[in-house]
Amino acid sequence: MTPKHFQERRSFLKQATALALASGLPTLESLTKVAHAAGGVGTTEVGADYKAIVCVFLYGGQDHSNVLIPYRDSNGTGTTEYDRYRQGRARGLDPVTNPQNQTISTGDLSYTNAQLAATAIASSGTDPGTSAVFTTHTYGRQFALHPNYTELRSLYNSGKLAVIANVGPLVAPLTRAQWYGSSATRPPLPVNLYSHDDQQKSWMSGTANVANPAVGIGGRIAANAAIAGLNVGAKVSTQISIDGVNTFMLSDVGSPTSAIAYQVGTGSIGRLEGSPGTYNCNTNSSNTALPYCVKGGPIKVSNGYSGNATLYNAFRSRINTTAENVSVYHDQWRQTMNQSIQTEIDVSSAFLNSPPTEEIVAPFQTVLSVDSNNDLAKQLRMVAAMIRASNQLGATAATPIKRQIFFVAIGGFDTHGTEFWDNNPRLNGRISKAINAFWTAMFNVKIRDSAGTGYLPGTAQDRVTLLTMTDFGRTLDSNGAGSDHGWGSHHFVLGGAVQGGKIYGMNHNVSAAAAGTSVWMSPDTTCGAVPRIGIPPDRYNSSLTSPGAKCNGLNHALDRGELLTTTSGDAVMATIAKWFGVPLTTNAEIDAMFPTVRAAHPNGFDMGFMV
Amino acid sequence: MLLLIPAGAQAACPFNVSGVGTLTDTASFDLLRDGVLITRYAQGMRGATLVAGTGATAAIVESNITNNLAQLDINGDGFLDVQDALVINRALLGIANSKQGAGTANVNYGTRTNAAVMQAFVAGGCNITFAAPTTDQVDAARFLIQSTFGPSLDEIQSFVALAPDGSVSGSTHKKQRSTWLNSQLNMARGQKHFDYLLARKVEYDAAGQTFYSEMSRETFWGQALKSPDQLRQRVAFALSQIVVVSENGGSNDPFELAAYLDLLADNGFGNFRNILYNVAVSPAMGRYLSHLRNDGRSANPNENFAREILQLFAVGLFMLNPDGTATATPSYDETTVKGFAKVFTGLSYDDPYCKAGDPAWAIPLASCADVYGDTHPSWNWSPNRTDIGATMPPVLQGWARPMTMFPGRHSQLDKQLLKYTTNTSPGTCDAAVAFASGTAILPAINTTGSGVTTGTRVNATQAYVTLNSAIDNVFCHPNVGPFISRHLIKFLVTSTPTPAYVQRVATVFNDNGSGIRGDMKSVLRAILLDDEAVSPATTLTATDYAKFGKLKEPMLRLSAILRAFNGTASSGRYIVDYINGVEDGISQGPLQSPTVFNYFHPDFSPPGPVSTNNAIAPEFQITTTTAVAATQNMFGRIATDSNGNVLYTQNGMGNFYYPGTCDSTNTKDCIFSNLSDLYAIQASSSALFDYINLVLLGGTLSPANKTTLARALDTAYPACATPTGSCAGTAQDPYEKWQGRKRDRVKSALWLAVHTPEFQIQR
Repeated sequence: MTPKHFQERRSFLKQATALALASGLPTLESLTKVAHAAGGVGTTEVGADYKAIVCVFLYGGQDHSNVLIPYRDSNGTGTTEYDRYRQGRARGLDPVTNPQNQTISTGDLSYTNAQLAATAIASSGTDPGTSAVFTTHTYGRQFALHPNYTELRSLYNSGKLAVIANVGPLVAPLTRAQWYGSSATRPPLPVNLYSHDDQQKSWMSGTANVANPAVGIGGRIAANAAIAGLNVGAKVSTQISIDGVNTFMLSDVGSPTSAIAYQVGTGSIGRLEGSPGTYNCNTNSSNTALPYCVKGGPIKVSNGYSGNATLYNAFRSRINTTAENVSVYHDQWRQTMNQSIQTEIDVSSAFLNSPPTEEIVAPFQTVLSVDSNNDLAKQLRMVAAMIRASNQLGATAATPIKRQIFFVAIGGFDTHGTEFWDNNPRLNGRISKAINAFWTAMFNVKIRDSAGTGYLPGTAQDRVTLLTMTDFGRTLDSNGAGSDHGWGSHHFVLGGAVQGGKIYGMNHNVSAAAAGTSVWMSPDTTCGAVPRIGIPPDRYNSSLTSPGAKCNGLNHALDRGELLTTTSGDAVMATIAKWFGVPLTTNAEIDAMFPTVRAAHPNGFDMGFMV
Repeated sequence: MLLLIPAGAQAACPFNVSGVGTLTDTASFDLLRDGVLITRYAQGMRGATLVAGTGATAAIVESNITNNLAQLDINGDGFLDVQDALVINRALLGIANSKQGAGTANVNYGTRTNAAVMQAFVAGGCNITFAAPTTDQVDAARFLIQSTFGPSLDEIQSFVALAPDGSVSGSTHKKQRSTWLNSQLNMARGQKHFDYLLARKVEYDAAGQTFYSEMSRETFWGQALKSPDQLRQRVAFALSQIVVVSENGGSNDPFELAAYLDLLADNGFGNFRNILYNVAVSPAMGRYLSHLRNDGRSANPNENFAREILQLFAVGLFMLNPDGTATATPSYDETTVKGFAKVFTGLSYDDPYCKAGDPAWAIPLASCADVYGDTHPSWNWSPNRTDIGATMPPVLQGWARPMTMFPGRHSQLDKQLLKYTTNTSPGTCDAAVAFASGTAILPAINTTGSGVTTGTRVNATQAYVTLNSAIDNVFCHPNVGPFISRHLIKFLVTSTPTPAYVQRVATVFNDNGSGIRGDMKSVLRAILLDDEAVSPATTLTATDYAKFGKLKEPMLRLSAILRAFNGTASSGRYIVDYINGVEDGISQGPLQSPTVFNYFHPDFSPPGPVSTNNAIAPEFQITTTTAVAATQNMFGRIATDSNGNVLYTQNGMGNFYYPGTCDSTNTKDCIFSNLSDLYAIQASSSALFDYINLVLLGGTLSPANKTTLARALDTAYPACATPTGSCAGTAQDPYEKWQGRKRDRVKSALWLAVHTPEFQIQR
C-alpha cells in the first residue's frame, strides 16, 4: 500500500504547489489571501450538523477555594461567609492583624473582599423546592469569581458560561458523617482519592470505581455507534488531543478507527521528514523558498513529503496496521507511525486548502502578544484551526466532519508550597484569556447549510461546548505555604447551547421522596438557611459532635475545608454527551457510557445546563 | 633485499602488489619493491616508469592495485594517493604505533582522517568486509542495549571476548554477563556531575560569561555517552524516572540538579534504604515536592512529598502480591499521608554559618547559640539566595549537602505511619514490622526535658529518630521489593515482565542471600542474569515472547545513535540540549519530566496491538502521532546530516549541536562520529546492514527485512566500483561523485536503519 501513499502525497503536492505559485509566495499568509480572493475555497465554516466538545484539563488540582469565593451573604450585604473563607485560608492567624501578602508566602491564601468586587457575580436561580435534584438556587448568596477571571465573568454575565459547583469523581452519594464513620457502612468511594494520577483518570474515564482505567469518556463517546456513524470515512480521528496521550481519549479494544485519538502539537502537526536530501520544513525558517515547505503564520503546515522515493517506500512498506505478530511493540509503533503519516497528509491538505485564517488566529495572537507563554491559548488556537478544517476532513467534500472532541490542558496547579501566589493568579489569568480568545474565534466561524448553498443562522459558538476538569479541588486550609489535595472542585461549562449565567449544583433540599435512595435528605436548618447549590457556607473546624457542628449531613466540607463531592463529574459529561447526540435514554445506554453515574445520581444525571 | 615485517602488523592487507607471491602474504612484503611500486603509482607513474628497476611486470602491478584499491586506500578518500603510500611504507617498515599515520589528517573526502583510525584499519587487515553477526555477537549487543546507553562494535567484541564467570550456571553468554556485571558493579565512580559544573563555572567566571543554566543536561549527556561506568549511568537514569525531580517545576538550579544526578549515581549500587533517605533529605527533592521548609508548627503541614514517597517512590497505592501483581487492598489511607506529612517537617538547607566545627564545610563557620530555633535566619538561607543578609551570602556547595533538621520547625504531634504485618526481610525488618503491626503511630514527641533551652521544642536527636523511623517504616513495607523490582525491570529489560520474573527479583531485593534487604547490586544482577532477560526466545512461551522487550525511551535511542560510532566532541562537552520538545525534539530530556509522575505511567497500555494483547508499554504514552514523527525526524537528521564537506571529511555523523549547525565557531562542541567502518564496507549493502543491524538494532532485523532495505539502498544509490561511467566526476574533481555516492550509501543505510521498528524496540 505504500507506493500508493507516496503517490497520494505527490499528487497532492502538485496541487499545493500550483496554489503556492499562483500566489507568488508560498506562505500561509499568502495562501490565506488566495483563499479569500477565491471566495469559495477555504471559507471559515463548519458543516450544518457540526458539534464539538472541548475538554480543558487543569493539571495538578485547581485551588477551587479561590475560584468561586463568597462575596456577600445575601442581597448584596453581609460578609459572614466571606469572613469564614478568609479565616479558613489564613492558617489560623487573625487576618486583621496579619495583613495579606499575596506575593510571597505568608501562608495566607485569601483575597481581600475588595479584590473580589470586580469579578463578583449575581446570586442566581429560583428555589426549585424539594423535588429537583439539581438546582441553581444560591439562596441569595453572592459569589465572586477569581479576580483574574475578568473575561470568564463577562461570559458568565452574557449567559454563555455556567459554573458547576462542588463537582468531582463520585460513585455513590455520601455524607460527611459517613465519610468519617465506619468503613463498613460507608458507601463506595472513588478509587485512590487525593492521588493526582488516579483522580485525573477518574475524571477522564467516567469510571472512578476502577483503578488504572483503560478507556476514557472521549474514547467511549467517539466509539458510540451514533457518533461514529456521523463521521464515517472521516480523514482524521473524531478525537484530537493537543496535549498528548491522555486517559480521556483512550479507546476500547475493537473501537472504530475514527475513535483512535490523534495528537497534534500547538504549532504544527506531526510530519515525517524526508530521507537524506531534504529536511527541516518544520523547524528551519530558511527553507521557506522550497516548494514543499509552506510556512508562515503561527501554525506550520507542510504540503508534502519529499525525499528519495525508493528509500521512503522501503521504510513505508512496513508502516501499516497489519500485524506482523513478531512483537506487539513493533506492531504498536507501526500503527502509531501509520496514523501519524496518513492523517498528516489529509490534515496538511485541509490546512493548505483552508488555512487557519486571520479571524481564527487573531484573537489568540492578541493574547499571546502580551503573554507568549500562554500555552493554553496556543493549544486552543490549534483547536480552532482544526474546527476550521473540519469541513475539509470528512469522507467527501459533501460530507464534512460532524463531530469532534478535543483535549487541551494546562499544568502547574499543584500549589502546595511557595509557588501558590506565583502560579494561581497567573494560571487563572491564562485560562480566562485563552478561553475567551477561543470563544471569540468561534464567533467568526459560520455554519454551512446542508445544501451547501448558504449559511445557517448563528456561529460555531452555538456548536461548541467547552468544559474544564481538574484532578481535584484543594484544602481551604493553608499548610503554612499553600494548599493540599482535596476532592470536589468548581468548574466551568461554556457554549452557545449552555444555559449559563448560573451556578449549578446538587440541591441540598431534595426531599426524601424525590431522592429515592439518595442520602441527600432531611435538611438540617439549625444553621439557618440551607444553601441550595452544593457549596457549604462554612467549613468544619471541630468534630461532628461538638456544639460548633452545623448542618450535619448537609455540610460537605471535610476537616481541612476540602469539599466532599456532591455532584459527579460524570453527570456534567453525560449532560454534554446527551447534547452531543449520544443516546442516553435507557439504563443500558447510560450504563454503557457512564457506568457509575446512575449510582452517584439515582434520580437522573441531567443537570439541565444544556439547551 | 627482503625486509620482513612483524607478523600481524597488516596481515591480510594486499600490499604485495609486485606479483611475487600472493597479495596478502606478509612474508613476501618487500618495502623496497612493493613500497616503491605503491609510491610510484600514487605519484601517477604507470607502465615502464612504474616498474623500472623493480623487476616487476607493469600490467600485473597495475591490475593488483586497481583491483584492490579500496584496501590500499588507507585514508579512504577514494584513490591511492601519496598519503596512503606513506602510511603503507611506514607499515612495511614495521612501524605499528601512532607514528604510522602521523601528519596525515584531513585530506579532501577522506573517511579515515586520523592516524589512529588509519592504523586500526591497517592492523585490522585493511578489512572492507563485515561478516554476518554471530549468535555471540547478537547476544552481546542485546545485553548491552539492556545495560548501557547503547553499544559500539568495539564494546560488542570486548564482551564476546570476556572470560565466563564460572560461579554462574548457564550459557557462556550468561556467564559473560556476570563477568561484565562484576566489572561494572565494582567500577569506581568517575568525576561527579557537581565537580564538572564547578570546573565549568571557573571557566565561565574567568571569561566573564554568565553561567550556562542548562549545564545539568550537559553533564548528564557527557557521562551517559562517554563514561565507562555505563551500568551505573543507566541505573541512575532509571532511578531519575522513579524518584523524579524535574527542572520543570522549581528545582532549576544546575548545581542543584547536578547534585541530584550525583545522588542517584552514587547510591544506585548501594542500598535502596539509602536511596530513600538521601532522596528525602535532598535539596532538589525538597524544593521539587516542597517539603523544604515544611513547617511542623502547622497542624496540617504540606503533604506533597509525604504522598509521593509512598505512592510513587516505594509502596504504591495497593498491596502487592510477591510477584508484583496488585490486590484490591489499599496500602494506606489519608491518615497515613497526613502522618508522613508531619514527619517531613523542619527540613531546610544546611547553611554553613551555624555549624561550628563541621569539617565538611570548607569555609570558616560561626556558631549560633540557639541552633535552628523557631525563628533562626538559617531557616530561610539558601545556596543561591542573595537577600538574606551580608553575613550569610550564598554558597554553591549547599546544593550538594543534604537538608538539615531545624527541630524547632519539626512537628511535635503524633504521626500515623504505614500499617502492615508481613515481614519479607526477617532480621533487618523485625523492629519495623513489629511497629507497623501495632498502631504504627509514632507518639507525640515529649518536649519536656528535650534539652532545648529556649521554649518547648523538639530537639534534633528526636527529630532524626522520627525521620529514620519513618524511612524504615517505608523501606520494610512488603510492597517495596516487588514495586521497585518491577520498575527497574521495565526500565532495563521489558515492559511486560512475567509475574514470576518480578517475584524472582523481588526475592533478591528482600534478601540478597546474605540477609541484606535492598541491596541494589544483587537486584541488578538478578534482573540482568534472569533467564527471561538472558534468553527470552527460549525461556518464554511464544505469546509472552511477543510481549518481551520495550520501546526504548527516546533518550536511549538518541544515545544509541551517538554511541554506536564513538560520537565524540573534541571539547569534551556534550551539549545535547533542547531536545525535549514534542514538535521539534524527542519528547524527553534528562530531569525534565513534566510532573513527578515521569514522562509516562508505568502501567500505560496504548489502544492497539499492545492493549489487545494485554501488554504494557509505558513509553508509548509519549509516542503521540506528533511525537512519533518529530522523534524520527531528529534521528533521521542526526544520522544523515551533512554540513558540506566539513562533516564528510571528518567522517561526520551526528552533527549535533543546538541549534543544529556546526560551523567554525563551535566545531569543537560538535559530536562527530567515526563512520570509517561503514565507509570501508559500503560497497556491499549486505555487509552494511549486517554491521548496522548488530550495533543499532541488536541483531533483531530479520533476513527478509534486511533484504528489503538492502535492495532499496542499491536501487536508490547503486555502489560505484570505480570513479568512472555514471560515477565519473568532473575533470577538476574526478572523485566527487564517486565519494558522494559512498556518503549517500552510508547515510541512507543509517536513515533506513533508524526508521525500522527494530531500532525503536529492544528485544
